[in-house]
Amino acid sequence: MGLGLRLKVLLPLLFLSLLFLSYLYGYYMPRSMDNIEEEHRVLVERHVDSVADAIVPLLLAHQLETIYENLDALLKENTDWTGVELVDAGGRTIYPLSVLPLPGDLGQDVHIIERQINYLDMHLGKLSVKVDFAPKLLRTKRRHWELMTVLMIIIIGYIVATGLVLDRSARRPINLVAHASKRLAEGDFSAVLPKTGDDEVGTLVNSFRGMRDAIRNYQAELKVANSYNRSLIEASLDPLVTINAGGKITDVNAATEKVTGFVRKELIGTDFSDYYTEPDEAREGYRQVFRDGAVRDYALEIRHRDGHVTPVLYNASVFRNEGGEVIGVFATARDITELKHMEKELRILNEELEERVKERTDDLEKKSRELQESQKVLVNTVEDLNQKTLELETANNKLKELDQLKSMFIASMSHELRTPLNSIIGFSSITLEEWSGPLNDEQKRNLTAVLRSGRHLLSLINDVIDISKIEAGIHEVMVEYFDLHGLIAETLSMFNKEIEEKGLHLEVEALHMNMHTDRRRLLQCMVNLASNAVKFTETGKISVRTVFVKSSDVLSPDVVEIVVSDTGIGMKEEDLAKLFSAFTRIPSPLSMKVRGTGLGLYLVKKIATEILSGAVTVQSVFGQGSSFRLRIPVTLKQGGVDEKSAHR
Amino acid sequence: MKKVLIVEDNKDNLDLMSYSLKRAGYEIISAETGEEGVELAMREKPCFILMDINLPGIDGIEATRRIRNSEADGNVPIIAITSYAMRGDMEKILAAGCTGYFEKPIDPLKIVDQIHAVLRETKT
Repeated sequence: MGLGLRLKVLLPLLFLSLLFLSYLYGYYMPRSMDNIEEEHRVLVERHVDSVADAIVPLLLAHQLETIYENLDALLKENTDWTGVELVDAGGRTIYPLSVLPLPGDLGQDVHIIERQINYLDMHLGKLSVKVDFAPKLLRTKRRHWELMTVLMIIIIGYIVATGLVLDRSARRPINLVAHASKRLAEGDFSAVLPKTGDDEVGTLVNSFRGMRDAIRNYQAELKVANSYNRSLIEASLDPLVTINAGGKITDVNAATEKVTGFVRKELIGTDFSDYYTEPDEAREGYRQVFRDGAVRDYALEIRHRDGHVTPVLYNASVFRNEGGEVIGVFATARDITELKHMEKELRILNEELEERVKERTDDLEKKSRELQESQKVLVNTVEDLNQKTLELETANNKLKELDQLKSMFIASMSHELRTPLNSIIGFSSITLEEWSGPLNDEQKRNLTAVLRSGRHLLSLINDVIDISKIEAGIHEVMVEYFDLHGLIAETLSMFNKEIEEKGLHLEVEALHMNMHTDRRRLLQCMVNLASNAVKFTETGKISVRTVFVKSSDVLSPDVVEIVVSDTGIGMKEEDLAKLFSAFTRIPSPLSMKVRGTGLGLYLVKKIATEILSGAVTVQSVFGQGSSFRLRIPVTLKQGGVDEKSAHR
Repeated sequence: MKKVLIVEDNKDNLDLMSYSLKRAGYEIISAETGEEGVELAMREKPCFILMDINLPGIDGIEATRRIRNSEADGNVPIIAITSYAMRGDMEKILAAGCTGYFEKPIDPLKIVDQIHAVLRETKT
């Protein structure tokens, strides 16, 4: 192979060189020699011609001496002239003087050149010159041989050099690669590869190296994948087996070895059906897989080498090659020995259970009958209870109606009471004004008492009416727009006279604020609070302040706080708790003197919470004064209240 | 002397109102039922009428409506005397044709001023 490449490259070269040399030797050199000979002859002939011409006058003048001298000189000058002969017309030799016969053997290259010497039509003589061409030709020949030799050397040198270079840069690397690929085919990746340049061979070697690395990596990956696959198969606790179309085992895992008692080598290539108690069923099993593609829970019994039997359930399916062609069956067996045991135990247990259930069922039937009877009793009891509940509900409703009736009764009773009171108060005041004539002091005192008692009774009745209506849910709500400041001014105007008489100081800080709520009810509250403040304060001051509190969230409304404070007698802490209850009168030095219904604050609380959707609170220091804080929404939401007024 | 018609079934209230109005220089004619009130209003042509709403027979609202619908001068001011309990019926009372109203209890010292206030209000 190696020689082949060398020969292939060098033989044409050698052939061409030989062709060239043959041409030089066989054609070019002889022709060149002939040419040179011819040229030389022409040159010599011209020379001889010129000599003949020069002799003519000398012969005519018979100057023989000069002729001798000239010819001697000629011979001397031209070493290749081996002889000169001059004869006269009579054939007598004029030169050379010593008649020396011309050497007989003239040699191959000795030429005789003869010239007739004539002057006009007169023949004077004949000149013969012997010239030897050999020295001249020999020189030329030698030069040719020199050229040939040099060319030969160059060609041989080139061939040798080419051979060497080829050997170094191509043949050897290629041989190494060839060797390496042979080794690679045998699975050896370590064969030495030549150092590479950037020529074609280098590229070849590099791509071979790349290919070899890729194959090595791929093989390593394949090995890993293979061992992974194998380890998966081996990891399975279930016996796995693959079968070919002929029913021969092609592969097994360790679990199969264990359950059969044969090692892998022994199993592979043998009949699958050999290892079962029912070989026909085993055969039918894998045939079914080939036919249907898969089977599930196919029951077989594996017989161990030592004879013991393992019941298993097979799941199996066909597997295919890359072309999709079925090449075998992959089967996994599940050992169901435990399951069989459990099944057996279960069956026994089941039988026992059935027996016991039967016993218990009779028992239960008896109990059930008893239960049904007691259930009947229970149903009767429940019915009784329902009846009682119904009665209770009726009673409760009656009670509610009665409560409402009571309040309505009080309301209408109070109305009836008010009309005559109106007369008492009206006529007392007319008389006291002395419209019907002058009164004495005693009459005035008495009548004043009548009037005061009448007014007290009226306010008591008014309060009772209001409270009853609120409690009966028949009160009316009249929401209107009004100015808060105006309402407070109206409240205080009712007490101007009294405040002035007592010499109290009044402080008012009221916002001009548009309210939308029940003005009359708010006024009622304010009158009550102001009235109390004036009643229970002897010295100092009374103050009314309003504060707007913006709501912090959308659900709760903006509210206004009205605070009525006084520097009056104040209350003890234990009394504060019952302050807002009905008919509460706090014992105090002043309470003997001051009249009240005991319903005022109770009504304020009722109105504030149940009509105005607000609240009222109190702070007090005994002996120093009280402060009532009424807190109500600026805008009354009417939804809840309308429900109440709908009771009317 | 200016004539005033008071329609009121309660004798004491009637006396109380008459007392104050007479003192202010009015001549009083009175009726105890609605029907009687309507009849007197047509016949006597008072300069204004005080009309109690709670009356036996036809009530003050019906009486007012009849006076307003009569052929006689229907423009006479009619002032309704209402009780505190009737606040919800206020619209009905005004719709029937009452000029104005004041609430019980009747304060004889203030009633004339109250009446004048209502009359002044309707004139302007």
